[in-house]
Amino acid sequence: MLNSAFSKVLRHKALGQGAAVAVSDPAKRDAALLRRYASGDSRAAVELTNKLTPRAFAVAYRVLRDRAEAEDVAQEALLRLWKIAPHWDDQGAQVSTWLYRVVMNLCIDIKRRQRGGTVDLDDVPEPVDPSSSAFEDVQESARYYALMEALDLLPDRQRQAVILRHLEELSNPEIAEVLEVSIEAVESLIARGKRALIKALGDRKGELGYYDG
Amino acid sequence: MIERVNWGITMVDETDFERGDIDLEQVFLKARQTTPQMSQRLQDAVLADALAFLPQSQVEMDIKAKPETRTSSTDSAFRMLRRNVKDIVGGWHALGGLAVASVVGVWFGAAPPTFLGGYQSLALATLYGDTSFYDNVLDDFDLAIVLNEDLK
Repeated sequence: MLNSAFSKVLRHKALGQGAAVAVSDPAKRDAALLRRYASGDSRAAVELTNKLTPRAFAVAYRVLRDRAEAEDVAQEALLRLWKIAPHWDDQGAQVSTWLYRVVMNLCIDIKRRQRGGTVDLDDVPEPVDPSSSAFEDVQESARYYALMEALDLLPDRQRQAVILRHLEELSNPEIAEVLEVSIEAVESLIARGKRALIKALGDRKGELGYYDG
Repeated sequence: MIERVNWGITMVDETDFERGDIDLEQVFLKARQTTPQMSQRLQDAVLADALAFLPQSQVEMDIKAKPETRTSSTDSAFRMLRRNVKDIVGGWHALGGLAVASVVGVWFGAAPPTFLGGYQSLALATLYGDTSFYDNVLDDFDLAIVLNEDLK
């Protein structure tokens, strides 16, 4: 395990190196970084780690709602990326799409193993919005929890499609690639998912303060 | 939520979901702002994995290959010569003995011990045919006397 001081030095170096990579398209930039990693460039390793780890963790956490499991999933997904890097096919999927797909598959595996498990609300992070009042904070927190609980009630594919579309802000074609389904299937999954969310949140309108306005 | 039937297919207008009391887009917006923060432990672990699986760069491979290239020219010729000399003389033990004998020879030549005076004179007498050297021999050893008689 590297200590954090070492990480900071590498991260600082990576920031300097980042400016040198003149690739504007994020997808091409990721692919370029992965090529540099595959050729033995340690700074590319740092850049990719800094860029992809938070995304892998965030989506895993939103799906699993368990910090330890999300960390395991993120680490495992990136480990697979490091291993596949020398054989990466630029003509295939984008790096981020590939990573999302691996994360989603790992999440599905975990969900299958713990089918019927309960949700630990202590694991849900507190929403932070310094501009809002204490009352609004409480209300926003309640709505956030409610959304997460409602997402948890969705079937796996619907939940993943909604999270990827509305929390990770991926396009429908990208989601189709991640979930390995057609774009029409993605649209259907999202529509059904959102309908279920509206219903679930609608049942708690009063509790969530939707009668105030 | 409004469902319309169009050409026999049930169409769902998504925007109608969000026109109700629940502003789902607003809920999603707030949820997006609540980015789960990962731990430093995860960041370090992923970086350690990345560096552990980092393929060897071409530069590193070149550096590792360089000493091999250098020894193939002058170093290898020297090594071959050294091996041949060692084989001819009879190994490191023989070379060690030869070295000690050489050092002792040089030392005796430069500063001979007194007991070797007779042998030195005898050698000079034999080399140059000058019998006056035998006097020194006679002073030191009986063996020199015998030799002197034989020579005369």
